[in-house]
Amino acid sequence: MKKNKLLSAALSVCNIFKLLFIIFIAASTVLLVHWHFSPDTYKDISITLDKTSNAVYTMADDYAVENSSDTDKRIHAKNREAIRITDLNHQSLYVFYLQSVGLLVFWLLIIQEIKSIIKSVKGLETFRSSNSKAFRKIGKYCLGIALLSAFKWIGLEGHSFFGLYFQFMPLAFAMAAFILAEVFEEGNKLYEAEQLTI
Amino acid sequence: MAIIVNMDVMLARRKMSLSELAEKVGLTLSNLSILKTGKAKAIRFSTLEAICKALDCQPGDILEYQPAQS
Repeated sequence: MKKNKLLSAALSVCNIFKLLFIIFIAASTVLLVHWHFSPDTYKDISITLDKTSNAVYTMADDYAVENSSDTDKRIHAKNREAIRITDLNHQSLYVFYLQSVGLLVFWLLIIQEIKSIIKSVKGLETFRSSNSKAFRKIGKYCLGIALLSAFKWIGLEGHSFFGLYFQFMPLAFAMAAFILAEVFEEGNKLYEAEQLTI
Repeated sequence: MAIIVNMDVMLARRKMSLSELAEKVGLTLSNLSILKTGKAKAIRFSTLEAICKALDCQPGDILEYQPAQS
């Protein structure tokens, strides 16, 4: 009973996150479309680019959207640079949008798989091949997240910035997911052997 | 698999049908069919004992070892 309560709570959390991600994706798309028609609305909005990250390793927050009331176009504080959205070229903004939406889609897919796993555990069908496949998919999605967050490109009229990043956490999660997939595969084999024991 | 189940031979000798044996042993017909066709991965001692009792035979009459051909 306690287990079921925990699983039900986890399912509810998954549903909330799923809804939030869908809202974020829809909002980003609406904003992009609106930006096409009325770019002046976003003239005071800037994104802060963190250049401290390098090609080796970073855990720094890469982007932070903020409302800039400063008259200066760019603020140099350490290695952070605030860039107005109106200064970005179209391709750069599209890449930024696709990167952000791609990450959200991957998270959405991961939550979908987690939901299916939780449902099967609730139905006392834990060690099944479907769960092994679900963990393998989660691992692939984590690799996708690592790939999408591995680069950053900001193109301005005068100059551009391109950075490569090594994200450790998505890779660690991918490895954990692949290991769990193997564990569940073994569990499934044991289950099938048990089923064929007369 | 190297272990062959010769249950159909014993059933023929005892002139007993599979469903009759299933009833006597207390197994489902599908499980007994899995055992008879050699699809089973393992057999419990209790099941073997029940089958031997029902067919009045020894485990060796039902199970046979044949080296697997490589």
